[in-house]
Amino acid sequence: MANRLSVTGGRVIISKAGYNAEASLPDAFKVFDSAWGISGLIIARGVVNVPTDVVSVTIPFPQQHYVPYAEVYGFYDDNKTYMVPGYCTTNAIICGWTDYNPGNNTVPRIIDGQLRYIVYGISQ
Amino acid sequence: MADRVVVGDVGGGFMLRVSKPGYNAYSAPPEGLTFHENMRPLVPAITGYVWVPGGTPNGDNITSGQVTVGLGMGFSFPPKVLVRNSANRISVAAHLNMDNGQLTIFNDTPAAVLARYFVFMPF
Amino acid sequence: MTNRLRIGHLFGQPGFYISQPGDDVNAPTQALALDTRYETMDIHHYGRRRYNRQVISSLNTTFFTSFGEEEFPALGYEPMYMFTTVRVSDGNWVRYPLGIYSTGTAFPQNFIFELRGNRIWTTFEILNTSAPVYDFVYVIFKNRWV
Repeated sequence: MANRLSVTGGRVIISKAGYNAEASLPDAFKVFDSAWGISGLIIARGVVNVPTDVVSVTIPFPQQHYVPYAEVYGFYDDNKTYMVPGYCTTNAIICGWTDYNPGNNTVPRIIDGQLRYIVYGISQ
Repeated sequence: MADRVVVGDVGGGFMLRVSKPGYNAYSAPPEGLTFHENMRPLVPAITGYVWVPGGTPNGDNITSGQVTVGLGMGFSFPPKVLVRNSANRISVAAHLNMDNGQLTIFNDTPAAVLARYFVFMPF
Repeated sequence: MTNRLRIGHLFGQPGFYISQPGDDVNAPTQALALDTRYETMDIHHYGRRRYNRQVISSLNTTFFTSFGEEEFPALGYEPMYMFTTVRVSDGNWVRYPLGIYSTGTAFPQNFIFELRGNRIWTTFEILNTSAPVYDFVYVIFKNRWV
């Protein structure tokens, strides 16, 4: 039976079923390797309804000890989709075009519809 | 109180499970677990840092700054690329030439930013 | 040597915690490599498809529209997903995060993506007289969206 967990010299490797956990194992056969440095952690995800066109939407998430990264997609009409810009803090996504569109007197709006967001557990 | 972390050989098979609050790690259904030994993860194949020049004003808009890095490999299936930058922007734009592994990263802010890119592969 | 692994309590929760190289798991300053307070993305199904394109003429403009439906093994709930398009010419280009471009003809527009039970419905338009070919690419996760 395969040894699926290896903790050696501070490196943790968990292998897929049928494979021994060791450093020489190709990544495709690993469930986790601490040498990757990062993994697909989802801090938060969900859907926010936007009842009317707005300049900005704030989406809170659980407080972190660093600023994570997020993607926000807007949906409008019959599920047409577009990207929403903005920035993250340690506990919220601030969506909208307000802070990086200098000189534009008419700031684009987030369209009435829905926002879907994913907050990834990755830091700078 | 529920057992929340199980590591080891259980009932003839290897188990490494961590359950959500209120769930017992031995018996929880998949939605009661945050981690289990049979997951199929996105593997961060390549990651790195690169400086991206600031965008330049262009009338009412900004023409994005950009930089291109060579990832050193081609791709037959599109990887998932995430780029976070030192301005903490979300939804950062990039594009990848899958044939030659050239990744171009954009910066819509006026100042240069340090970008950290992650190239995740599904297996 | 930096402590990178903790099996036990951290942040008030029992779990499995591994920090990035150089970061102390007991007082991390960066994201953890593994933090079982949170789910890790768990792949369920993925694929890449090339749909037939239809020519649509509207007013004086010609669009090429692609649409199709993909089936994946049923989960019984609304899963997380990722999708994009690949421009299949001069390099197989992928644009992130969404595979669309808000203006211009370089990438698909009016990208519709809809989850219908265990099927994905998508349609997108290419406003470009040279009509480059685009593949639709999707990844479905076992993790719930909501």
